[in-house]
Amino acid sequence: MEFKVKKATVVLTAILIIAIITSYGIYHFLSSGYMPDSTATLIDGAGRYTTIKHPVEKVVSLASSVSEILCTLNASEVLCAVDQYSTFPPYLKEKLDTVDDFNVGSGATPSIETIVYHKPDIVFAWPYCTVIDEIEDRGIPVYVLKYPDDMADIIDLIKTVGYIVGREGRAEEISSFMTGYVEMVEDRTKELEQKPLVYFELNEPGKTGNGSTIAGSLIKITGGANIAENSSLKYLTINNEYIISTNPDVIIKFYYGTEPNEEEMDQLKEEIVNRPGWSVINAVKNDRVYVVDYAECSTSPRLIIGLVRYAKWIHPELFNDIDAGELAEYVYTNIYGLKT
Amino acid sequence: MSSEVDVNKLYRKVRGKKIFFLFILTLALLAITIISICIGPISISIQDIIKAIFGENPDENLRAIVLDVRIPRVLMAVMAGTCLSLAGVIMQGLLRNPLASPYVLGVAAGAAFGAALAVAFGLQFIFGEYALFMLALVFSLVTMFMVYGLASARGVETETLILAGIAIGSLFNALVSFLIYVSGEKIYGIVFWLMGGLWGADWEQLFIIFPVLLGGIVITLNCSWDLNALSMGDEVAMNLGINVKFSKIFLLTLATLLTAVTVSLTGTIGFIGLVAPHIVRIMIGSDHRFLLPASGLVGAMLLLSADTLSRMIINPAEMPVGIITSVIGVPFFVYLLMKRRKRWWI
Repeated sequence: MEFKVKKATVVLTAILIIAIITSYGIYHFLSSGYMPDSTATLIDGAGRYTTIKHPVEKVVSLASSVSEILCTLNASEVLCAVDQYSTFPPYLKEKLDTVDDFNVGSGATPSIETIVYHKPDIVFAWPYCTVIDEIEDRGIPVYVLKYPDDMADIIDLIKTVGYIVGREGRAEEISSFMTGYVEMVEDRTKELEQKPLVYFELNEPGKTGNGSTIAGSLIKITGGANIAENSSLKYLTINNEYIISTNPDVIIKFYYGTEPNEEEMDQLKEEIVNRPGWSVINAVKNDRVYVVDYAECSTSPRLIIGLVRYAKWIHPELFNDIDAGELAEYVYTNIYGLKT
Repeated sequence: MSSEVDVNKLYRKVRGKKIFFLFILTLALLAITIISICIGPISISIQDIIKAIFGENPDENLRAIVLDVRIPRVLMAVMAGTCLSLAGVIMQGLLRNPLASPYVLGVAAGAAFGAALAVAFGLQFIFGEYALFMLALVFSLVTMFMVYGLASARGVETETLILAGIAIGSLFNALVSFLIYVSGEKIYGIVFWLMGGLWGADWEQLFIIFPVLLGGIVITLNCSWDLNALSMGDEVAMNLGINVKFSKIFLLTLATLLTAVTVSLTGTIGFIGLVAPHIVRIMIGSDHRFLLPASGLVGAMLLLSADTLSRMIINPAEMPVGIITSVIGVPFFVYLLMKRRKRWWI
């Protein structure tokens, strides 16, 4: 007997076999989770090109601001290690204290060993990080942040981080919430002719900043005039008698505790009010010396709370309807997901 | 005996010259003080200053600037400069070492550590500002006698002493860095204050430093003959009837006290205590009766000029005064080192 096989059968069988193999291949390919690398090339804050896997799944953050932003994007699970100052929201601090290898040390000189151990898809670092090249030499892309000059830079950063971890929707939600407040404040202050003079003081007596610092930018948006606005130095120690002679209407002192402590904040205010010669300053005379928690004025969504506080301090008459405490509660519950 | 008459005449002539020099220095310091009070980021005319101080209805801002800020700061610079120079003269004379100064011997670093310790633990809130001085004094004394002990264990040689000072000074600097590191952002002022600054000078601080300075001047002037003898060497001093051990410990403690009080008020300001005595030695020699007051005056002038510059250079921002004294001091120090190799402390 001889087999008579029709050509058509052979062709069909062949197609069938190929189809089975291919579909098995595709099935295997899909089920193994293997996707052709989707990559993205970004220009980071230092103007360097960085190619990263997109969206990233494992992040080491050497900047507490980015750690905080990631948490607000509900993406805290991508963080495999953070620097020692990433202590907010509180669950990060708890993890820092309890989980080995979660703490990479300071953002300036982090432990390269710990970073390499985690094999992150991206490392976020400030320009002052001393080991950027060493990390990149080990094939780990580093996104160098830009020191933010104003509100817009921070909103941009939130969007960028949102894109990198693939949470654009949430980032958009947060940034439009923030933009809404910025626009509302700007709207109420833009027509003002009278701009109260404001002096803000950082950690040391006389230490302040010009217009292109975050605090300087907040003062501008909220309709105040920073007494060091036009200084050529971004951060400077300003002369004591210069402060007295410009006679600021509002003084804002920064508080740098890990947790706000009323008693320490009052001490800071007392110290300023009692400085020799300062009793003639309008802000002291009219009891307009305020202490602000540094964390509410730094690179994170909490900045919006700082903005509203500044607005109420500088133009109390314009912002009667807004309660900074309520806003803070809203931000902590809805953006940070913390129960207050 | 004509030769004897000549010697007396010569002595009187030289002494007259030196007294005249002191007189000129006093005038110069007075002039710089007045200039420094008149210039600043806010220019105020001399009439307005007088009005602000003595006038019936002065502008209260002007009055606050002149009386509460500018004058205390100028006086603080004068007193701190004087204290540091006196401490420098004593250390250089006693240790017979041209490179000795509060800064080089690590005494300032010890004081800084003591004060930083007080700040780090918030002791000034519990015991008042005096906790700062006490701790500064304790640690600068510890440094002084550690350095002296280390150096004398091998016989006090120039290099040994300086090396011991550098070693112990670095230890205390490292400890200060450690304090800053562990205290994190809480330790607000320490870094600034270590850079050397007169930003916050006020009358209260002046009332602290003034009695120390006054006591220092009276005591050192009374001891100037002892210092003359001790700077010739221990044996010479002993033969002149001086209790060498006691005098040394007493005077070193005094120099340390002057340093500690100054450092705890202004932070470490380098090179004043080193440079001022050398300038005077070049001009009028090393008789401590004249060297001490003249160095005090020169030190006051140096620090006051540096501080006035620091207020003016990048107006209204301020440069830490420590940077300026170092910039002036280091080249001068190198020049001294190259120019006069021998006999510069006797």
